[in-house]
Parts: sequence; structure tokens; C-alpha cells
Amino acid sequence: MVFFRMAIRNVGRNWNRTGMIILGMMAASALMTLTLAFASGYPDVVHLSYRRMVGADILVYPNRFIFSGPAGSDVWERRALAPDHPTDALFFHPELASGYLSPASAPPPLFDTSELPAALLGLSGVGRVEPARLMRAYLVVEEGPGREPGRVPVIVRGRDIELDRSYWDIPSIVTHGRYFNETQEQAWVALANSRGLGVRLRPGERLVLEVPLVRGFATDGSPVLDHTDPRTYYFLVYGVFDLSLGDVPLQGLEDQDLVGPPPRVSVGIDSPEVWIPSGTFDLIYEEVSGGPFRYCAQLGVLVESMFHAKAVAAALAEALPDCSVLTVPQEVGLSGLTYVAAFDPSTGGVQVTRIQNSRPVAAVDIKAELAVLAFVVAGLLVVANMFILVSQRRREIGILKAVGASSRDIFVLILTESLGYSLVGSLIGFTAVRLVTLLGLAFSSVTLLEGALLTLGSAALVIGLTVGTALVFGFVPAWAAARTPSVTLLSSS
Amino acid sequence: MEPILRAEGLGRRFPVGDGVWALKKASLSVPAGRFVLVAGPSGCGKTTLLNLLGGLDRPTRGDVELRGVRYSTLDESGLARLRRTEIGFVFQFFNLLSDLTAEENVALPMRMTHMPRDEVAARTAMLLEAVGMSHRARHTPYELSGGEQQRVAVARALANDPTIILADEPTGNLDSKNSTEVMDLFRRFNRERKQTFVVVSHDPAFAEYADVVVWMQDGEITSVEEREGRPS
Repeated sequence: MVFFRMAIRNVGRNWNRTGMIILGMMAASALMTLTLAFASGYPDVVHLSYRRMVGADILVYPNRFIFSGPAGSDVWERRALAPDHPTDALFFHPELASGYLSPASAPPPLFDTSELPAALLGLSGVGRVEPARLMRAYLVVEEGPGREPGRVPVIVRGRDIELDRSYWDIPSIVTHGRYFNETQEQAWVALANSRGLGVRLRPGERLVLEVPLVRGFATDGSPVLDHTDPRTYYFLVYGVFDLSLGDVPLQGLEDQDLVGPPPRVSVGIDSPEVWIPSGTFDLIYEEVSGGPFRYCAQLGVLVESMFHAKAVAAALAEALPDCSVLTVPQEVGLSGLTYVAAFDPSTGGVQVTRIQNSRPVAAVDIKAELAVLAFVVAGLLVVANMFILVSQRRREIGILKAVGASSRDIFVLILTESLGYSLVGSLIGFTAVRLVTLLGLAFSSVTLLEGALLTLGSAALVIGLTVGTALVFGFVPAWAAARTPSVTLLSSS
Repeated sequence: MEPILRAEGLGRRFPVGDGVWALKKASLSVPAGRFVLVAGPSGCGKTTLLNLLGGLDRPTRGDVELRGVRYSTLDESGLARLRRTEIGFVFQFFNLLSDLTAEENVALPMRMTHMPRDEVAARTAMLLEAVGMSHRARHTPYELSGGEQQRVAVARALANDPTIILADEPTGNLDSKNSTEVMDLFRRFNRERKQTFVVVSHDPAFAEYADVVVWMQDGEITSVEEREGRPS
């Protein structure tokens, strides 16, 4: 106990020595934090925007996208995505709209979560597996100032609105408004993509959706919709979002048109989407189809961090050989997605083109290597600190042994000090890096609540790893110092 | 008088080249309350002998016995316990812990024995008073002169009221005035408290302080000289 207390005191005094070691530990933990943040994709606002948009880290598409020629004696055929299958695959691979080659024996593009291998849920890092909740519907445009009545086709997307609540400042209990079902408070709210709807909606306005009935399913799994007798649902618009990918410079202008810097155009996703809570979505679906939600052209798998994404994606690809697995944030973040806006003088319009430079798989691999390398460097920093800690103090350890400290006492002293240094260093290092990240989040579309939750998990990992590494690698020098005869230690200069 | 410390056929060989015998064969008996000076030229094995007597090092051959306890029967923890309670060390380079104040250095051996806190404080104050360092209790070693550091080291050596104090060239790093003061301190504790001292020095002038002078040369004890009528 004496040596335990002495170790704790030693951490707090002699800042010449303590400061350097804590600095080393800070550097190690900061490096780990950065790596973790990088691998999680959180420092990059693009990741987060898109993450919010799709609501999942891994998207599984219903067919393998193969565009090269058929191999061997397989029979291949050209297929097209069913028109009633709204899917993000078309966003990433717009060429799919014209069809794709696929083995003739491949099953139809239909998923049912009950058909998924049970082992999937047991995979490390899989947080939640759920079908993407997408439904065809019509937005009923009511007459208003500068607005003609009409119907606009939209995609209704069921989302976990809890995540959006703090961002959109949705009160925890909504008690006003005549458009709510009083028994289902907070369930009948909606968020709308202002860019895609073609109708300007305002928060607090009524939003009316007409949803066609589902009369059955086609052989490929797509629903057979009856547009003659739609059901009507009323919502309160709680937020109007703009799926924007940012501004890009406009190209193709003649020199004489240029005054000042090149003009920029805003690039957005004009998908006519209305987001509603998942629970509300399920209720509506049950009413229009007479049964629980079943069809799914896209599967969302939420992973706990990008460290898990590759393993999960690999396992999914193996379990579902006819599917293509895309780890979306990595593709967006690392594959060099760029948007180019070009002015077409003949039409006077602007053509926006999305360019993707590399394969997502390569991006995943590079990430894994970088993460391992960073962790090795951080580990080496910790090890170096531990050896410095012991080698600087050989004489002091010799004195302690001379006045009666046993090998065990010395061992306890050194290990406790290691624990103290690594704990203090990693806390400071982690906090410093994380604060910067959180500051970044404050200016992004991500809620600080999400960031804070991520912080807790990352803190446990980084501090645990730093302290664990310090203890593991502190063990050897501590043991060596404890076993060295005091006469040898005392002779150290 | 029954010896409290006895060394029998002590030898220490260091694995340098073909092996060097720093101490070839030494037998020694130290009766309680005596002041023993181990003298001889540099490199004759005095420090090696002292390290073995203090259990800081293990002999290649022979054994040491302190109050009936043979070192060869003790493991590392047993030796540490013996050093903590039965032996006090004073070194040439003082060897105070630089991060601790004078009083914390003196209190350290007592804290290792789990002595009650107030008792530690009282005894620390008494020891610092005895060595004339009360006024410098809150100073760190860097703020003390060589002579002052050695006084604190003497107080630390006396902390757990040890059976014997072993001092290795305690004046080797001090000027003549401070050397005399430290040796006078030893003599006072020897006289007043009947504290047993074994002091290693290459300076034969300190023989006048000793009851027994052990002369060494080339790793061996050449003579043991009982002295009488030493100055008081």
C-alpha cells in the first residue's frame, strides 16, 4: 500500500520526468483516437451526411452487379431493376437503370429478413439488421399561396427518427396540432426533402400522403400496387431538409463569361423523399397491405464501427453469394467521389456528373492497413515510454531496495506508475483529439448527441488500449528492475 | 561479547573476463555496540564486503549471519525485510530520493514497516533533531549541501532503530570539515545509543574513531586491530 501511494504521488510530481512520459502517452492515445475516428469515418462530414441519409453503414443490393462478359458455360441474362423497387443502388450505379448482366440461375431480387442466416446477427459488430423501409406514395399538394393543388409521386422512407429528434428539435412529446392521432403522440411527424418534391413545404404545415394498396407480389418479389383506392394519412411537417452534396465549380464556360472566380452550383439529390418514423411506416404498410412489412429490395446493416464493416461485409457476401455488398461511407469517403458541373451552351443547362475514382474494396483494405500501422506506432510509443520510465530510475529503485523494498514492492510501484501515466496521458490525448472532432460535428449535420455517444465508446477503447498496452509492456521493465540486485542498480549513474 | 554480525569465508567473484575475485575470502565478527572501521586502499574489496554484509549482494561463497539469521536461508523478500528492519545504510553519494524532502526520506523506511503515521512523524522529527537538520526538514536534496544530505542519510539509516549501520565511504564526497562532523555523529550515536557501526573508508585517519579496525588488501582481510583508549 505504501508503494501504491508512493506511485500515485510520483505521477503528480517531478514534471520533468512525468511530463515527458505523459506527453508520450498522449501522443499514443491521440494517434489511436485519430485512427479510430478515421476508421469510423466520423471526422468527415460527407460520411455523416450520407450516413444520415441512408440510415445504414452497409447496404446489400439484390443482385450482383456484373458488367464484364460471362465466363465459362454459365448462362447469363440481362435483367432490369423492377420499377417499383426504389433503391439507393440506382444512386450509386445509375447505369443499372438500363439493366445489368446476371447469372440466369440467380434468385429474384427479393429479401426477407427471416431468410437471412441466423449467424449474421451473431457477427461481431453487427448492431441491427433491418429491411430498408421504402414505399411508393403520393404527396397531395394542397392549395396555398403560390401553390397549385396536385399529386406528386414520392418515396416514403421509414427511419429511426430518434436520431433526428435532437437535430430537428422535435419535442419529446408532441401535444398540439390537429393532424396527429392523439393516441400516438410524436408518431405522425415527417421530414421532407425540399429539393426533390418540387413543392415548398414549411415546418408546422400539414402534409398529406396517399399510399396505394398492395394487392399482392410479383414473381420477382415486387409489390403489385393498386392506385385506384389509396389510403390517406396526415402528418405534421417537422423539418424540411435539403440533401445537398455541396457546391461544385461550374466548368465549360467560355472565358468571356468569367468574371471573378468560377461560379459554383449546388449539387443535391433530388429524390422526392419523405421521412417518417419507422413505427409509423410499419403501421401504414400493415394497413395498405394487410400484413406486416415484408418486401425489401435493400437491406440495411448497421455496424458499430467501420472496424467491423469489412468483416461484416465479407461475411454477408459469403452468406449471400448473389448479393453485392457495399460499405457505403467508405465508398463515399475514400473512393474519391467528386461532382462536376458543366455548362452546356447549346441547351443553356448545367449537367452534373458524379465521378468515382476507385473501388470501394481497395479503400477498405487501405483503411485496415493504416489502422494496424497506427496502432503499432502507438504501441511502440507506449513501450518506449515504459523503458524510459524504468531506465531513468534505476538508481532510485536501487535506493528503495537498499532501504528495504522487496522485488514485489518495486514491481507494484512501477506498474502502478505506468497505470497512472497511461491513464492521465490517454485521457488528455483522447480528450484533445475528441474535442476537435466534436467541434467539427457542431458544424456538420450530425447531432452532438450522436457524437457524444460515439465518444464514450471510443474513449473506452482508446484509454483501455493505451492503459492495457502500458501494463503489458510495463510488465517486462518492471519485472527486470524488480529482479536486478540493488547493488547493480545503485551503481547506475 | 557475542557477535551480532558474523561473516564466514565470504567470497565474491564477478563474471568479468575469466572472472575476477573482488573478495577472495573474508571472515569477520562484529560484536554489538562496537564501531568497526574497514580500511584499506581503493579496490581492495571493502565495498564488496560491505554489500555482502548488508545483503545488497549475494556472495559467491561463504555466508553472513545477523542475529542468528543466515542470509543463505533467506529469499529475496526475506533479505528485503532484513534490510528494512535490521540494517541501516549510509552511502558515499548519500542516495537520497531526489523527489522527496528530507523528512520524507527519513520517514520512508518507517512507512515501509507500516508504523502508525503519528509515530512516524514524531520519530522523524526526533531523528532530524538528533542530526541537526530540523530546520531543513522540508527541503529536497537539491537544496541541501553535501554534509547536510549525509546527515539526512544518517537519520534515515537510524529510522527503524536497526541492529547495525553499514556506511560505505560516508565521507568520500565531503570536505574535511563535513567529514569530521559526520564521523563525530557516528561516534555520538555509537556512544550514546550503543549503535553498532561498520564503516568502510580508505582514509586510515578515521581509525581513531573505531573500536576495531579491519585492514584489507587485495580482496582479503590482512589484520583485525582492536583499539583501546580511542578519543571520546
